[in-house]
Amino acid sequence: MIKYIAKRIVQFIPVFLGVTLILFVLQNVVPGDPIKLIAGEKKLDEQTEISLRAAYHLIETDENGEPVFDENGNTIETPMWKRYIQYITGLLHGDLGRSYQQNGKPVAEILAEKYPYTIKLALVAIVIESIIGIAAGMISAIKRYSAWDIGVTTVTSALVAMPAFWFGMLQQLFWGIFLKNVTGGAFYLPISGAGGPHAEFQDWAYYMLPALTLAAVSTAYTARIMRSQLLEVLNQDYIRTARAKGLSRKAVIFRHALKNALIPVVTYIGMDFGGMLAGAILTETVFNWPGVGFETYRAITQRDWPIVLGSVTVIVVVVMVINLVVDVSYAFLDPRIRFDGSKSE
Amino acid sequence: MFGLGLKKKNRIDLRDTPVPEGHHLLEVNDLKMYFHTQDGVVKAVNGVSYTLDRGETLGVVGESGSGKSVTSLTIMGLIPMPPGKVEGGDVLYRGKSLLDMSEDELESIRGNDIAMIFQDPMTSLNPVYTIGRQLSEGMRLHKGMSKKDAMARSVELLKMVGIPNAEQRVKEYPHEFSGGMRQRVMIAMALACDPDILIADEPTTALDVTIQAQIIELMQELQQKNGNAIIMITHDLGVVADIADKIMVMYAGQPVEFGTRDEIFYNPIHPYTWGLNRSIPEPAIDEKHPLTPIKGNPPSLVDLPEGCAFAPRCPYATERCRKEMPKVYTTKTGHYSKCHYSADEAFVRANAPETSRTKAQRIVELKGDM
Amino acid sequence: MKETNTNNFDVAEASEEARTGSGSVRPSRTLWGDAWQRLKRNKLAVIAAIWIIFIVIVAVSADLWVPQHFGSPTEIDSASMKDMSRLPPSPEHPFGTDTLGRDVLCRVIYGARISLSVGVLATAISTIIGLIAGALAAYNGGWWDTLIMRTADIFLAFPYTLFVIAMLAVIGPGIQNVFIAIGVLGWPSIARVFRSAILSVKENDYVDAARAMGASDARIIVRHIFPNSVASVVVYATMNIGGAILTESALSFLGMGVVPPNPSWGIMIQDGQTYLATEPWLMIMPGIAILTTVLAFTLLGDGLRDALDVKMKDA
Repeated sequence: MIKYIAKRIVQFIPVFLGVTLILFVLQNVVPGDPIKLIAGEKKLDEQTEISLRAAYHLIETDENGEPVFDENGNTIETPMWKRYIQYITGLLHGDLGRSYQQNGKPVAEILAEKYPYTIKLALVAIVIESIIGIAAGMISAIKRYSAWDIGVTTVTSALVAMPAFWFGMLQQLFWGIFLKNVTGGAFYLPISGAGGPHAEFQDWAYYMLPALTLAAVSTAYTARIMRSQLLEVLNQDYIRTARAKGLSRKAVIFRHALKNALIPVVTYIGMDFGGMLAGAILTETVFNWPGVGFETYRAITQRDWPIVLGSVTVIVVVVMVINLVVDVSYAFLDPRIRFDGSKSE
Repeated sequence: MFGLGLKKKNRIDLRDTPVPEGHHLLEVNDLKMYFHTQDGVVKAVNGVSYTLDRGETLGVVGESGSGKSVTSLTIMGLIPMPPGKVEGGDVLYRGKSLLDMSEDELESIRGNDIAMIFQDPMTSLNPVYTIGRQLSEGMRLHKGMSKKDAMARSVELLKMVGIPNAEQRVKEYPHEFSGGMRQRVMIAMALACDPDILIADEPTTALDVTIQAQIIELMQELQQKNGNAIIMITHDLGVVADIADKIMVMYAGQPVEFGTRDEIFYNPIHPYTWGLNRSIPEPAIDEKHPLTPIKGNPPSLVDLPEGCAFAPRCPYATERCRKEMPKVYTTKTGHYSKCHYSADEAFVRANAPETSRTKAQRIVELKGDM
Repeated sequence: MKETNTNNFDVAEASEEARTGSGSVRPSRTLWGDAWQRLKRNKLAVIAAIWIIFIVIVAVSADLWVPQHFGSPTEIDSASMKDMSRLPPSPEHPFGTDTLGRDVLCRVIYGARISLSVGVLATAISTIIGLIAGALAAYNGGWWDTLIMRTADIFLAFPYTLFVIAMLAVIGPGIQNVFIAIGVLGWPSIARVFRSAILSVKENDYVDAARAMGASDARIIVRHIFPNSVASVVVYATMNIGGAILTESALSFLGMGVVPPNPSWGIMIQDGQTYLATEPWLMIMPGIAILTTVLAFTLLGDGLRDALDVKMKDA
């Protein structure tokens, strides 16, 4: 198993280098001098500009971080490939660079502030997704063609066909505005922000609508996968064997079908959790949620490239680790999986 | 909720009830099972009748789609309804109708009194549970055994069906077994509760030829020990040649001929049975004798011909065959056939394959050598 | 278990002899003819197809009749703007008017043009790149396969929305850039689908048979592999159009897609966000437009999948 994990990590290295390289190149082909982005409206004197360029590794520096000059007294621009190597070296030391804005705050520090919000939101969403998605899919499959099944199929089809941000706004409209009007302000949910010591509501209330929105599409997919898996499993020969043994329909479903059907569902939920940790840009934007997705979106619109690069780097690593964990746990669920990645009959 | 459902209200054990006077262990009377589909009504089983007693073996022979498996699944109550629907007839087990039983009652019979082995051992075992667990399940359910006792009995069962190193093997998963070994496990599973009737649905079709003979032999051996009845379903007349006491030949959902093994092999009176007889390969005997396949394909079960279902393929078919559904002709011995001309001895004598008798003997000899 | 599978009775495959013997039988049809018959029986897919055709007709013919009734989708009449701003739905303005006094129905109709063209063009770009990449990977195998599929992995390792946004931040907003970005980033999934379709077709005996008979590679691809893999690509592309429409709306909502005053549905929802509490129809109407259009493409894709009997993972 350790061999398998090591192999996966080795396989991941080229993917990781490819992703960061593409972003790094993208960032450097963007028109505009980073210094202008750093300085904003302010006019900089030459000395400040040179020290800024040195601080952001845009020009060659000596061991002390002082700028190096050529024979004409000009600074030497660091070539892109060298900056990329510097970036990767920095990564290995936990250095993600510094923001162009926010007074040059280290990217790692900014992400450390934002990530807990994203993680907590993802956890709440994944709980909603697992419980509602699996239950709905099971009922739908067991009572196939019933009103339940038609209802679940209709709702899930609609959920995957609507934009997540629009669904979020409908939640705001219903839980935040409509309920407030109807109950005369007695009961409603907050539609923006993440709470805090001086907030109007207790913290949990702020999680409700963003988590529901974030979970919506995933819940729909979970229900559909659960339904189709269970239907497929119930059609298998070994289910007939179990019935022929005299097991009741209920016992067959819970003892024989469920475990087989759940294996792909659990995998999907695991992968989806990885995706949620990548930060939900749309959900976080609609609800002003101070997570990593919103921060990345903000950074993109303001061309704060070090944050974009840093957060995507972290996201890609997180997603890869989650996927690896999912794959390894798969082997515990399904005895046919061997760690060479193959599946026997 | 996740239990085996041991606390059932209507548990009955029919095994110890003697077969009532005038009844057989299993009686199938004019059974009709139709499927209602988008394309129309599929008459999958259309008037099947036979009887079976303890220690007997019935061979059910027919092409795929002839309704032989559906008949057995109907007896087991394993046909999903809808789309399936029993349109007539009855199935009596020890004089009690299986079709009238509640689901609860049927569950106490399935796997306990009547057990079944399926065609494809590769897909008939649950891949995520150990062999031991799957074997124990039935015994815990029907016999109320403890987990430990059931597991110990599972080891015995595996030994009985000839799986070496059984103590170790019960802890393994199905994918760690070969096809032949899996079919042995299936047999062990079916015999776990010592059933009255063992239904084997093409138990050897998915296996290597060498394994086939072993599996058949194993089933016979266990039958001699336990005295159970066997229903052996197959598309291959050769498979039942040496083990069946009675044979039912099915075509397009209907039994076309039923009789003892000797009657079917030595004195068949239905042209379809003749065709099956002629298509048994006999390479060891004479190379010049060509196999005679039955030309054409079975009719659509949605849209059966007006007259005899076999008429479109029957070389002897007459206008009457195409127009009029033949009645069942029964001889004094209970040998029956569904053909207008079965009673016509001259016709039978003129057209039945001459080699029937010798051929059957040769097959028996051949099988004996294996 | 063949005999209990009611949809797939062996005996249904009756041969000539049996057919002539029994009155009515299924006439033999081609793959696509058969698929068409099955598609017609799927009510949801038929409704979806009708809805798509309706939207296309309305969007294409919009210039002929919409401006006369509802005014321009983009221009603002500054004289009457104040009186016309954010009127609730009424017979003259069935979906109401927006802040700048423009008719919302008119903008939804013109928004359909943008959504449909982005959906179709982006899918076309992804499909072309994906087909070429998938075919090269599957047919050549070896290094080609490794290189192309590893590149696809890199693309798929990115969080998709983030990737599209980053790309648009670099190349700038605007409708052309939107479909280029969505199109270029969408190829890996099509390449995967096509590659595995080819590989599974390649394993079929009839391809071996064709090769044994001396058919050239090109002939095998064109005559045997392509017709048998194209079904899965058609299904995938249909579903992909819906996905591309969703992505476009998200990009425009974030202000990185179509540029105002062009009437993208995403922009309209974003405009409506400010007036969520007071004039919710501003965001509800374009949202319903997205929902129904995307749903129609998904249902049509589902219908095609079932009709063409394409094996796909759910979701």
